[in-house]
Amino acid sequence: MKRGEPFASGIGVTVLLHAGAAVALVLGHGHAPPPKPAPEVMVARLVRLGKPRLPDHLPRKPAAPPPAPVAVPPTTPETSTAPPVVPKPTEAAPAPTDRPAVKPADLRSAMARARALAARNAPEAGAEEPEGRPEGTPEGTADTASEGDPYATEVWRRIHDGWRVPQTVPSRDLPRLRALVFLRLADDGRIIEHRVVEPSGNRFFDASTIEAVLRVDRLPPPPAARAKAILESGILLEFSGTEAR
Amino acid sequence: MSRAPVLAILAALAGVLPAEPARAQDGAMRIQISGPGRSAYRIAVASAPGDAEFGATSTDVVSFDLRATGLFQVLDPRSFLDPAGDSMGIRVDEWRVVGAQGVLKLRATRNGQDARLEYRLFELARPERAALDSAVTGDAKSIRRLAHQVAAAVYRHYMGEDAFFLSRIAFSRRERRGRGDVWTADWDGHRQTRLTRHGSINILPAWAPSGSMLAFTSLLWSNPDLFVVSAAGGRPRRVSRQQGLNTGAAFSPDGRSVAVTLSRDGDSEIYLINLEGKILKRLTHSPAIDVSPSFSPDGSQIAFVSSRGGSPQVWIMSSSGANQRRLTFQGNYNQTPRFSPRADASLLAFTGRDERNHFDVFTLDLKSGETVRITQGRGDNLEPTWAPGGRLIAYGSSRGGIFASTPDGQHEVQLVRGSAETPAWSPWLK
Repeated sequence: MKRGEPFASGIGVTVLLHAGAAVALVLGHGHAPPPKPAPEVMVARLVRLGKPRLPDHLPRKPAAPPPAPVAVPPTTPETSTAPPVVPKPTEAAPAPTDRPAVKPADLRSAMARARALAARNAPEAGAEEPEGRPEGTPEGTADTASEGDPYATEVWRRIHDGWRVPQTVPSRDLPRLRALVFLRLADDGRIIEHRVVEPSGNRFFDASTIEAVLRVDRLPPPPAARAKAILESGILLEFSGTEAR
Repeated sequence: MSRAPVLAILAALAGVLPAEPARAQDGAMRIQISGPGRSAYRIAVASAPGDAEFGATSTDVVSFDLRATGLFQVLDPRSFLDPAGDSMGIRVDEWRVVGAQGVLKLRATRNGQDARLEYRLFELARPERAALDSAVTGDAKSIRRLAHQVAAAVYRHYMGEDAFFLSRIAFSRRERRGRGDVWTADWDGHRQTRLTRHGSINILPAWAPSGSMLAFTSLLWSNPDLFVVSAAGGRPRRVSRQQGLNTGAAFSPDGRSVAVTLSRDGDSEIYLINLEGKILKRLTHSPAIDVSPSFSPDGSQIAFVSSRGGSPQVWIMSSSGANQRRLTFQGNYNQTPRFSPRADASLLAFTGRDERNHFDVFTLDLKSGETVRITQGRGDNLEPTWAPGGRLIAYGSSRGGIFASTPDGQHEVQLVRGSAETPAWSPWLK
C-alpha cells in the first residue's frame, strides 16, 4: 500500500460529506428556521497528569466517572480513603506501654489483613503509568484529552493555586459552601468581567473566590477551536469548599 | 396583600412583562474548583491622629488579641504607610496593594480622665461603607480594656461568636523563701493582681463559673486545705480542711458543688463537696491514686486521673461516679485533663509525658479517639486550661511563664512572663 492512499480516501469522504451538507442546506432553505437549540453548559473535566497515550495503542477501558460530591459516611479503618493522620516527627507519639499484651494469634491476623489490603491496593502486574497529558494534573479524571479539556485544566490550575479561604470561615462550614463565579475573557485571555452569580451565603468565602480570580493576571487565550464559544459565553467557575488543603 | 405583587401578576397575565432574559452564563464552560488553601485573614490596624500613647497601646492590644487567635494575620505596621492616615477613612486600592483584606482604623483620644476609642472596620471586598463604625468610652485607667472591647467587636463581626479578650487568667507564682501566691491577670498577661498575701504556699487556682470567686489550695494552716477568695481580692475563706489533701478543685457548671481530691482515708479519692465543705458524695473508690477532676461543659461527666492501671492515665466517669473507664492508652504519665468549654467539641486537653520524658500538652477527641500533640520541642509544657469559647489553650512552661496555643498547635503566644504556673483561665467576664 502506498503512503498517500489513506489520505486520498479521507479527502474523498470529506468532499462527499461537504456536498451532502450543501444539498441539505439548499433543500432546507425556505422552510421555517429550526428552533434555536437550548444553550448547554459545558462541564470541563480535568486532564489527569501522565504520559500521553501512544497513538498505536488500543484504547483503555474508560475510568468510572468521578463520584458525586456527597458527604462521605464514616468508614471502617480498612476501607477509609481519608489521608492518614501524620504525627509530628521525632518525639511525637508516646509509646503505648500500658496496652494489653498482643497475642501471637492477633498479630498473625493483623498481618494477614495487612497483606490482603496491600494486595488489594497494589497495581496490577504490568500496569502502566496512568494515561494523561504532561500538562495534566493529579486530580484530573478525564481519560481522553479532548480539545477543551487541557484549556480547562490550565484555567483550573491558575485559579486553584491562588485560592485561599480565610480562617474566618469556620472549618465546619467550609465543606458545604459553594459559589459560582462568571468570567468573561478577551481574546488574549485577559479577564474583562468577573462576578459572583451564585453566592455561597458566606461573604468571606465569596470574597476569597474573587480574590483568587483577581490574583490571576490573565488566563491563557482560549484554543482556536473553542475560542468563539468561550469568548461569547464565558467561563463559569464552581468553587466548592470541600477537601480544603 | 400589597399593591405591587398584584400589579406584577396582572402585568404578567397580560403579557406585558417580558420573559426572563437569557443569563449571560448560559452556555459557559464550567470548571469545578475545590480543595482551597486556608490562610489567616489579613487585617491592618492603623491609628489615626489623637492621643499618641493611647493610640499606640490600643493598636498593640488589638493586634495581639486578633493575632493570638490564629485566625488573623495582622499586617506589620512597618509594611504600610496609611494613605489616609489623618482620617478615619481608607483608600481601598492602596490597602489592596499591601495585601490587606480588612482595615481597622482607630482613633484614641483623652479628655481629662475620660478616654474614648473610635473604631471603623472596612472589608476591602465591600469597602463602600464601614462594616463597623462605633466607639467605646471609659476612664483613662481602662485604656487596655477599651482596646480589648474593640478587638472583641471585630472578632464578633468576623466569627459571629463572643471573644475571650475580656477574660482573665489565674496562676500561682513562686515567691522568695518558698512562698507562693495566687495571682490573676488579663488574658494577655497585663494588669496583674495578687490575690493572696498571707505568706504561705498558695497553689492550684480554679475559677467559679460566675467568675466572681476562685478556689485554691493553701498551706496556711500547714495542711493543704481548700480556700475560696473573691476574684476582686479580700480575705480567703477556708472551705475544706479534711486531714490530708484538699486539692484540685473543679467547680460544677452550676457552681453549687466542687469536685475535689481528698486523702482523708489514706489514698487520694475524688469527692463532691458543697461550698461549705460538706461532703456530698464520694465519687471514686479505688486503692489507686485518683486526682485532678474536670467537669464536662454540661456537667454530666468528670474526667480525672487515676493510676489504677499501673500509671497515671486519664479516665472519665459520670458526675455521679458511675461508668468509670479509661480514656488514654498512649504514654505512661498522663495527667491534668481539662474539658474544652465548647459543648460541640468533645475535646480534652491534658499533660502527657513522652518517651523522652518531656511533658507536653495534648488533646484527645472523645468522639474519634484521636490524640493530637499541641506542644513539642520547647521545654516542658504543663497544666492546660481552655479559654472561654475553646479557641485557645494556655499552659505553664519550663521556658518561664504561661503560653497559649490554638488547639491545632499551629499558633503560640506568650501570655505571662516570669514565674507563673498552674494557670486557670476564667469563664466569660464582662
